[in-house]
Order: sequence, then structure tokens, then C-alpha cells
Amino acid sequence: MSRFIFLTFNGLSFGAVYAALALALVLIWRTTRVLNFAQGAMAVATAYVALSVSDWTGSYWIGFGAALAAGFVLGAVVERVAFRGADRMPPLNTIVIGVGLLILIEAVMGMLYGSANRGFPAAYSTRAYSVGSTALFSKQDVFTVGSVLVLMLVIAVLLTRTPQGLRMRAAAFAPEVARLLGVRVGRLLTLGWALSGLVGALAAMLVIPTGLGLFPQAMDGVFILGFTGAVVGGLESPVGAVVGGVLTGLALSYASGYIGSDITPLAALVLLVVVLLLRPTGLFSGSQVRRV
Amino acid sequence: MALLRSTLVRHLVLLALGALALVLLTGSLSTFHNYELAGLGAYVCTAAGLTVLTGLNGQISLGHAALMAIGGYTVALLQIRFSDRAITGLWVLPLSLLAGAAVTGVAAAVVGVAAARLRGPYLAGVTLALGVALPALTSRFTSVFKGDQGLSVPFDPPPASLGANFAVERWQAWISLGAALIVLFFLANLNRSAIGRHFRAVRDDEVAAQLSGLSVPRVQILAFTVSGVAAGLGGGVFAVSLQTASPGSFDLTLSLALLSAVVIGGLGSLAGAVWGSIIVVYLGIVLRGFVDDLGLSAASAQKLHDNLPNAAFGLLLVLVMLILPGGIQGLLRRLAGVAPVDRLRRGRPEPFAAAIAQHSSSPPPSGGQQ
Amino acid sequence: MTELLEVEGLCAGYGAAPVLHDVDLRLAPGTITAVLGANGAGKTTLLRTLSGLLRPSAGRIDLTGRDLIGLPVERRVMLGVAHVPEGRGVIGELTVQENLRLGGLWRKGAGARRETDAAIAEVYDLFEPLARRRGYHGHQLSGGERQMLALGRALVARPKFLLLDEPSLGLAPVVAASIMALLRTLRDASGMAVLLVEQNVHSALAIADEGVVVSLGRVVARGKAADLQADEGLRHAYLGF
Repeated sequence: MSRFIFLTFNGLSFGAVYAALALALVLIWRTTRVLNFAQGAMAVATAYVALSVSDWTGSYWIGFGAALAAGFVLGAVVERVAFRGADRMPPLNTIVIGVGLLILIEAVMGMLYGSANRGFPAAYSTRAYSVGSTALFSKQDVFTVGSVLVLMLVIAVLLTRTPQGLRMRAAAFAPEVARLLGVRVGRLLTLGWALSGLVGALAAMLVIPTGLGLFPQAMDGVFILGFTGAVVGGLESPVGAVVGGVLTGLALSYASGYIGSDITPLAALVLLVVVLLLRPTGLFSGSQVRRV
Repeated sequence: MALLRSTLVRHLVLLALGALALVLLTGSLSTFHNYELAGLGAYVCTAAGLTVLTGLNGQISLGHAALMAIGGYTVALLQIRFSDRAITGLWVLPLSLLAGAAVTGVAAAVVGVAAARLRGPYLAGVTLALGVALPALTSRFTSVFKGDQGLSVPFDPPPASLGANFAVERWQAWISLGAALIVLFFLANLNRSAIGRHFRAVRDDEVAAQLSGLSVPRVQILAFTVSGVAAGLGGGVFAVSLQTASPGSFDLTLSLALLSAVVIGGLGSLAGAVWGSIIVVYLGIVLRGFVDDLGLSAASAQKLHDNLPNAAFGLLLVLVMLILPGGIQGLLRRLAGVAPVDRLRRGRPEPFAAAIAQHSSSPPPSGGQQ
Repeated sequence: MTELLEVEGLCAGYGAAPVLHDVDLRLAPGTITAVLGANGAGKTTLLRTLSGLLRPSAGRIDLTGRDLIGLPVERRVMLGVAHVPEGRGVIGELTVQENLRLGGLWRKGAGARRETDAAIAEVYDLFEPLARRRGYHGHQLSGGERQMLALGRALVARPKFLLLDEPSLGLAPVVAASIMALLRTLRDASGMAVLLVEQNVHSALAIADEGVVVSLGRVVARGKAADLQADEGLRHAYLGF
């Protein structure tokens, strides 16, 4: 029982990270029909920015903020340079562009920082509080779940309660109609990518310190789990992405806890395939038919 | 019929010429360059199968190295058994390679069953997950696969009839490039056959293909199987050329390098797969050599040495997609004044492909037509 | 009377295929002009070119003396162009209130919010059923309500020039008639120029001041609505009644 409790908290903490990454993917997917395969690599790049800025300023939190800012900028730049006009391309082309960016960004990070795993400190202690002999969760876990929750609330408020959010939703659902009402759809797409980059950066800043470490390919595996979370949630809805990410975190925490940690990639594959084959529209989508 | 025969003859002539070139080329190169050629052969095998799957049938795979791994490990396990029992002979390695290709074909068919229900980014994500998960299995079943260290691949030395000084690297290059030539020969004929037309018909318009009597899932599964056989053979000769099968040599980087090769060469074109493989293999070698000649400090040289080739492939991939979706082969066709086949950018359908497929004279072996 | 909109020599099309040839058009404020013609004549293309969704290959579009050519859609909206597209363009995932708010979001500056709120209030006065369904999502509305919403959303912008593409398509005759009647009221109250594309030639000419007949991308006839309705040869040749 105590193991189950620990694995549950562990799963929630990792689930928050996958939820953030899933949200980053969904934010882009619903506006541009691009599944950004470079999302993980972009997030790694922001973590390296944090490393450099922290080294330079001596402050962990300035580095943390710099990572988020870098994610925002990188998202916008990637959209402008590589994915402008992606809505007119066949899906295959946008996938290949994403993969190309993934290879490019990881290689550039390798050239700048080397391929070795750099230790990356956590914001707070990763030692778990325990009650009796039952390990529960660490301060870092609380920070992880809390900061993801806060960011999601901010995004939810932005999307549903502000004029800019209304424009973004209109541009996502009906770009041409939005243009006819005076919305500058192109700018909002860029903003969506920028937000997505920021969310991805947060995911990297939270997951890299937890034993993963910082190396150019650090987020490859995490990306797959974020993608799994997004697919579990149905890819269309931000709320679904968050729930899907958390469920993925829980499922994998139990799988690796009870079967073995080397099973994680396989468990992710099984979860992904089972969800796609049994419920192609995700666990939470409405009645819309989706071609997967 | 006359046309078909002449195509076949043409392909046979090309095969013979290729074999001759291979013999002459490997004879004039150093052992190190032969070693590189052996690696190239493995790339060509797999990229040729991948370009059929992705370019001709429209199914993307970001995990083809996993299929290569199945072929490579199968060959390794068999060769170890043969070696343990001291079974030798010129037929031993070809048998292992065939078995590796066959096993991979079966595994690819299983993947294909799932893939036939997935499209675009979903298929890309699942194959990516497969590419990461499958090599991880080796550390799960350490007793069989020996974990990260991998299996050694013993094989007989070059036959004595080739002479005492025949280098083992040259022998590996023969095996590897020979396999590549055979794969190219079969795939070239396949593309010209009814099956090739079925592949394209399904890629261009699934509904139209279905309306003209094709079973879309069957065609897609067949494409995955064909591609898997090629990848399995590629993985087998790759293991032979490295003399080892380990998870590290079939990782995500290889999967993405293969995709780079087929995209840069021109999706859907076998010649493009060859071009792309040559570029991916030799651009890497040239760039690494260039870095080594710069005389940088050891640390920076190491960083550039390891990463500059990938940076170049990544950049090329993005640029090709944005500027030249037909790849090298598309560029060559455009220069030659032939209508471009960059259906990637325009998504241009072949409106009659489905109809042609229906009325094709030769029956599809898989029972693709109802 | 000074013209609100002047179009001269407009040519446009899709890729290499030209659709509109040398179209001239003059619209006075406070008038409704019906664009008539068979399917594929180029009516929708004309509207899309005027609102900026489609780039013309030649010609001039002047709105109150200002050249619109080269301006993107969003800029034309700010200058007073409103286009209710074919199929109405109600965003089903947004509520009625959100759809209407969207109609005024192009406004900038201090008074923007107040002006939009006032315009939305007017729309609710004009369309009673919408006022009762503020929180409903677009996809929950009936066809008639959607048309009201699409029209109302365009009115929130208080446009000078309104382009309507097939507003009565798919509506019950009674609903279509009430919307047509409303257009006359709006014309008189606001002084805007309305360009109306409509399949139903009778009802269009009944409310329009002017009519333009388009065939194969060219204007083949124009005149007072009443004259067009009376011209038997024209009716047989182009309007099918």
C-alpha cells in the first residue's frame, strides 16, 4: 500500500510534466494541424539557456525565467521561419520539418554544450517527505504540480476571459471567418506557438532535474510521453491534454514501479497503441469523428 | 507484356552493371573505405524500403531503425548458433540474412496492421515510440540480447577462392552492397507492377482506391511488410558490417538519419534513396574529417565531430521541405525538363492511378482486389 | 450622389484560372445592390475579392475615395467592410455573445469596448431570439438564428459596406423573408451600402434598389431592380424565370 501511495504521488508529479508537454502540443495542433515533433528538442534548448544564464548571473530563478522567455521566443521564431504556411502543406511535410528541427536543435546543443549529461539542479529538495516508513512526495514534486497548475490556469484565463484569447480561439476554429472580422490570424498563430514554447520550457525545467539530467536528447523520451498524453486526451482539447498527461504519468509510474523502470518506453508504446486502436478520438473527446 | 519484359531486362542489366561496378570499386578502395561502403549498403537497403513505404504508399515511419534491429539481432542470434556448432559454408550467412529479413517482414506486418488504422502525425508518433521502445527491450531481456553491450556477429572469412589477401572489409562491402542491389532490383520491379500502382493509388486517394476495389488496409499492410523485409535485410548486413548488434547502433538517430536520406534524395524514388543514403553517409564522413582538420582544442573538436553532421542533416531536411520538396531526384527531373513529381508540396493526385490499378492486367498476389 | 464604393476593371481568379473579367461596380450609400447570376458565374468570387480574401490580378476598388487594393482583409474591416460569407461563418464553438464580441474586436483605443457593447445591445434589440440565447454555442442554434447571428456580428462593426453571400440559403421562406425585410430597415437606418448575392432572384430584386447580372465572370446587365425584373429577355437569358 505504501508503495502504491508513493507511486501515485510520483505519477502525479511526472503526469504534471507530461500534461504541460501535451498542452504545448495541443495548443499548436488545434490551430495549425501541425504536430510539432521538435517540441521536446525546443524545450531542451531552453533548459540549456537556463544553465548558461544561471551560471552567468549566479541565480537559479533568473535562469528559470530566462528558460521560459527563451521558450516563448523560440516558439515564435520556429513558427515564423519553418511553419509559416504549414496549413497549406500535406501533413507529411510538416512532420518532416518538425523532425528536421528536432535533429538540428539537438545537434546545435551538442555542438555548444557537448553530448555529456550535465547535472541540473532542482529548484527545491527532491527528498520525499514521509509519514512513518511511507515516502510521499518531495518539495520539488509540490513545486512541479503547483507551477504547472498555475501556468494552466493563466492560459485558461487568457483563452476564455480576454479579448486576445477570444481572437485566438476564433483563429483556431475558423481562420477565414476570423480574418473577415478583422482578426490578424497570422499574428495569433505566432502567439500560440510562442505560448506553446513557453509551456514546453516549463516542462523541461521541471523534468530535467528529476534524475533525467541535461543532454541534447534528454526530452526525446519525455516528448513521446507528452504525445501519449495528448493522444489520450484526444489532441483537440487543452483540458483533455492535461487530464491525458496526468493519466499517462500515473499509468507509467505504476508500470515502472511494479514491473521495472526499463519497461517505461514499452509501456508508453502499449498505452499509445491501445488508446489509438480502441478509442481513436481519445478518452475525453465528444462525438466528433476523427481520422487518426 | 513486351514492355514488362523489357523493363525486367533493363533492371537485370542495371543489376549486372551495378554488381560489376561494385567488384571494381571495392577492389580499388582501401579497407577503410570498403568498411564505409558496407555501412552505405545497409543504409541503401533500408532507405529503399522506407521510400516505398513513405513516398509511394504515404505512410511515414520515424522508427525504421527498430525494424533494422529485428533483422540485425536475428542474424546475430543465428550466426552465433551456427558458429557454436561450427557449421560453416557459403550458404550460412545468406540463410541468416534471409531469415532476418523474413522475421522482420512478419514483425513489420504486425506493425502494419496497427499502422493501417493510423494516419499522419498519429502514425509518426507511434512509430517514433516504437523506435525508442524496441531497443529498450534488449535491456529487459538481458540474458538473450546482452543489454547495451549487444551481441557479436561471427561470420565466415571470405572464401579462399577469392585469394588469400582478400580483405574482410571488402567481403563485408560485397555482402552489404550486394544485398542493396538485390533490394533495389526487387523494389524497382515491384514499383512497376500492379502492386506498385496499388501503393500509389492508396497514397493519392484512399476513397478512390477503395471505390475501385482495393482493400486499403491490405495494401498498407503489404507496403509495411515489403518495407520491413528491406529494413530487416538492411539491419542484417548492418550488423555484419559492424560485427555486432547492439541497441546503440539501432537508435533513434539512425531512424531519423534514414528519414533524412529518403527526404533529401526525393521521397518515393529509389534513385533518390540511393542519393540520400550516399549524402547521409558521406556528408557525415566529410564533415567529421573537416572538423578534425581544423585543429581545434580536443573538447570543441569532439563536440563538432559528434554533432556537425546531424546539424547539417536537420537543416537540410527543413530546407528541402520548404524549398525543394521533391529532393535531389525532383531537382534532377526539373533540370531534365520532366514534370516534377513533388506531389508533396501540391498534394497532387494521380487521378487515374486508381482506375489503372483496377484494370491492371497482372493480378495482385496479396489478393488486394476483391 | 457621391458613390460609397467604386470598382473598375476588376479581374480575379484562382491560380491560373481567371474567374472575374473587367468588372465595374458603383454603389451609393443607403442602397442595396443585388448580384444575380447562375452558379459559377463569379458572384462569390466578386465578394471575396472585394473583402480582400482574394487578391485581384487587375483593377481598382475605392471605398469612399480610398484605394483598397493591396490592403489585407483585416485593414479593410477597419475601414468599414463587413463580409458575411457563404454558409454564414458562425463559429460553432463560441457562444452567441462571444461571436458578437468578435465582431467588434478590431476596434482599438479607449472607447472601443463601450462602442462594441453598445452595438451588441442594438443587435440584441434587433434580433430578439439572440438575446435569449446569449450563452448558447453557435452550433446549438437553428439556421435562422445562425443567420441572425452572422448578420448581427457584421453589424457590431457598424460597417459602411456590407457584403452578404446567400443569406436566405437553407432557411424557411418565412424566416428568409423576415431577414430580407430587415435588410431594408437597416439600409434606411444606417446608410450603408449592401451588396447582396442571392439565389432567390425574386426576393432579392424585391428588396434591392439596383441589380447587377453576372455571367461567366462578366457584368452582362445592370439597372434599377424594378427594370431588371421587368426585362423579359434578360430574365429568360440569365435569371431563369
